[in-house]
Parts: sequence; C-alpha cells; structure tokens
Amino acid sequence: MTASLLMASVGLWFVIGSYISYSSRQRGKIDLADYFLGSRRINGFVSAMTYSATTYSAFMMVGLVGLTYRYGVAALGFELTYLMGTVILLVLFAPRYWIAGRKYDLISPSELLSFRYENKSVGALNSLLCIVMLIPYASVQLIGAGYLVETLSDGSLSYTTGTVIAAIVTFVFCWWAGLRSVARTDALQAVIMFVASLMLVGYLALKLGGGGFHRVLVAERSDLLRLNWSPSFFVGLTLPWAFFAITNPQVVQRLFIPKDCVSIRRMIVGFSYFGFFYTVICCILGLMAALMVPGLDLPDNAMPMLLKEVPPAISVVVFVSILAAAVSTMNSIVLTLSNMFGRDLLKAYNPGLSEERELAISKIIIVCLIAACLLFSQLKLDLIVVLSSLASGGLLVQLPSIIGAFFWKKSSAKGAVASILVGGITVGFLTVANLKPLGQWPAIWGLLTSSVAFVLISKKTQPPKGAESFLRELKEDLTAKFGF
Amino acid sequence: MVEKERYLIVLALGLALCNLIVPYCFLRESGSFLFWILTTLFMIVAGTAYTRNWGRKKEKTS
Repeated sequence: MTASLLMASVGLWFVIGSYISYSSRQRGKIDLADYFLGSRRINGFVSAMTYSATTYSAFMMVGLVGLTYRYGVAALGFELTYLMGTVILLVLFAPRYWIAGRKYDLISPSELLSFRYENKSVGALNSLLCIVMLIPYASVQLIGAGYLVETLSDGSLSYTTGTVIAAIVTFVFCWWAGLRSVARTDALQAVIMFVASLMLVGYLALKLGGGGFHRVLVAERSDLLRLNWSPSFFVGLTLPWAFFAITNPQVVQRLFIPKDCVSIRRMIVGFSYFGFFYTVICCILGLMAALMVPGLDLPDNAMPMLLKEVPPAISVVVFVSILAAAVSTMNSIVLTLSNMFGRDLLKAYNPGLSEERELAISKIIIVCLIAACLLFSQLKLDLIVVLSSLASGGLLVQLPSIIGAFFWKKSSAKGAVASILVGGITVGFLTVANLKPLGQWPAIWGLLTSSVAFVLISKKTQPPKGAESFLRELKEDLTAKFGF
Repeated sequence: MVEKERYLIVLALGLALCNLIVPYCFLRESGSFLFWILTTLFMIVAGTAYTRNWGRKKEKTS
C-alpha cells in the first residue's frame, strides 16, 4: 500500500470524524455532566456503538487475529467467554449504575464508590489504580497504530508518524464536546470496524473458494481446530477479561449515559450482537491468515501480512478500521481518566473547587494524558508492555468492592480500601517477579487476596450509615423503572 | 437482588462452567468452535429476553 493512499484514507476519516466531533458541541454553559456524560441523554444506538468501539480496541484485528493464527480455536473460546461475562454483567449492573448516577448526580465510576462507602479515600485509591493501569494500556494503542502504519507503508511512513497521527486524532475526536464528541465519532468508527471486517472476510472467503475454506482448514491445519491451551492458561487469560464490563472505568462510565431505560436495553442488546459477530469474524480471519500467510514468526504480523494479499481498496478500509478501533478505545480512556483525576482526586480533596475550574483542569489533563501516552510510545520500553498486560489483572482487584457496593450492606470503606491495596500489591508483585504460584496467573491471586481482605475487614468494621438506604432506594427504583 | 436475577446468575455460571468443562473434556479434537458459538448465542438471546420489558411499564403508565 502506498504512503499517499494511506495518508489520503486517514485524511478522509479524520475530516469526517472532526466534523462530527465539532458539530457535537453545545452552546452556552457546559457543566461536567454535559462534557463527560453527554448530559445523560445519549440514545440507544449511539450508546451501543460507543460501548462497542470503546470495548473493542485494535487488539481484535491485530492481537486476536494473531492469537487465532498461532493457537487456533482456543482464542475464540477466550474471547466469547469474555463476551458472555460482559452480557450478564451489563444486564445486572447497567440498571444499577444508571439509576445511582442519576439519583445521586454521580459522574465518575470511582465517585460512586466514594459515595456508597461514604469515604473519599475509596474513590481516590480506585482512581489512582485505574490511572496507573490504564495509561500503559492506552499507550499500547498508540504503539499498535505506529507499527501498523510503518508496516503497511513498507517503511515509507515512520513509526513515530503513526503514533503522532493517532494521538492527534484522539485529541480532536474528544476535545470539543467531550463524551458527546467521543460517542458520535465512536458510532462512525464502530460502523467502519464492522463493515471493514465483513468486507475482508467476504473477500477472503471468495478467494479461498467459499465453503471450501472449512475443507481446506481441516485438510491443511486441523491442529488449529484442536484445543491447545491448558485449562489454567485458558482461565488465567479469560477471568480478568470476563469482568471487564465493571472493572474498566471507560466502559463503566458509559452506563451513566443512556437517556432512558429503553436506551439501556438497546445499548446492551446492540453491543451483544456487535461483539458476537465481530469476534467470530476476527477469529475466522485468524484461521484464514494461517492458510494464506503461513509460517510467520510473530503472530501479530498476521493481519498486516494478510492485508498485503487483498486489493488496496479493501486493505485501506481495514487499515482505517484498525486505527479507528485504537483511537476509539484511547479517547474513551483519556476522557474517563481526566474526569476521575478532576473529580476523585482534585475535587474530593478541594471541595471549594468550582465546577468551571474542575472542568478546565480536567481538559488540561486530557492534553497531559495524551502527551504522556505519546511519550511512552516513543520510548518503546518493555515496562509498558508488562504494565499493559498487568492492566486487566490489576483492575480486577476492584471487583469485590464494586460487587459489595451494590449487593452487600455490610461492606465497609476500610474493607474496600484494604481490598484494593492488598489485591493491587499482590498482582503487581507477582507480575513484576514473573511468579505463578501453583501454576495460577497473578490475576487469580489478586482477586483471591482482595476478596479475602474485603470480606474479613468489612466484617470487623462498621459499614457506612447510609448503606441500607442506598440499597433500598436502588431496589425501589429498579422495581419502578425496570419492572424488577 | 430479585429472584429473577438469581436464576440469571445461576444460568450464567452454569454456561461459564460448561464453556470450560465441555470443550476440555469432550471436544478437545474438534467441535469446540461450534460449541462456544452456540453457548454465547444462547446467553445473548437470554439477555435479550430478560431485558425485553425494560422501560415498557413506564411507557404504559405515562
């Protein structure tokens, strides 16, 4: 693919997305809920698309394709089990987050924890954990964009050019109207992601002889249809991701944004079907790549190499779709982290801070976060990859305090703080030391220790005074609005 | 948590266990691809059916 074609396609995508982002602006005074939650008035379709685009990063078309290329169907099992976890968690938690957000005027996911546990340290600690875990994860999106641009242009465009392009697009797609800009550009990007994957799989199926694909696969690579992961590897990889829907703040914040109950349902159902088809398509692409470009040392090169086998008209759309997936994940992370920084760290400890000032500082944080991610991506440190892989396991340690907040009236602030601290230290230590006690992954031990700490300390300490009324009011609203 | 939610959780836990046990015990050589697709579709359809009345009650009364 020529550099001029790559740049022209990126330019077209950038112009359309920038127009959508700019036209999403609101006139007059903007408050925090307007900027970070789209005034809580996002319709079902846009909610579903922004949820999908935020959840599915460039990992799908690069990492998952590579994983299937290397290991076969086990990768599908991992990704579909994750999707099943997300569906059930959305059905259980989305109404609760949505009601609590509106009833108590909560904006960030950590703010909900501070409110429920009546202790600002819980939200602050939770926000710090998310910032530490998610900045490397966001940087990896830029790293992926940089390598993709460099590989597909055969070196005509540098890695740095790719990362700078992705960083600029991320900034422009979220700056003007915050969540409203992000949600609407995400809707565009989710459509691009889906259409591009369909085009590619359709073209390759025709090239491989339609139904003959399965026959060829059985004949030539039947090893990819076997399960070749150990059960502990499967569980270790799947478990942290199965709870992604309630442990990753950038997707949790989306539970505050639908305009009504019907929109929440449309968001869940729309995401479920999008996720199902997109996952299956990506895994089939991985299997197709194994047949068409066999023998690659680095599985992550499967997609770039596959794109060299298809006409430029298709490869350029897929290229833009991968960039779109990276940007849509990154701008959501940056927006949510800037909100958490302003709300749960600055505002929580400076109650006198005005809303206008908090918003202004949060917008400066957006710029700082993008700059930090760009800087990390230029350093190409091994540490970033380690921290990025730590993210899913590290964020999992929030799980006990999140479930406790909604379902256990005896859960206490001290229990929540201890749980996040003990779990975070466990996962961090085991990951950095590269230890897997009893063959189990750090995330498993992190979840275990955080759960034990949460239950034991909550039982020994006093729950917040308002815990019972919080749960009672939530139940009343669930019955009234969702017919529970 | 209401009773309906408990049934849903039991169903989800059952499916999650099946997602691990069935392929690793019975479908190691082939068949796991289709099995995972069917269990996921089942979960999605169950979620769709479970949420079908959300917001309807309010629309009727308003």
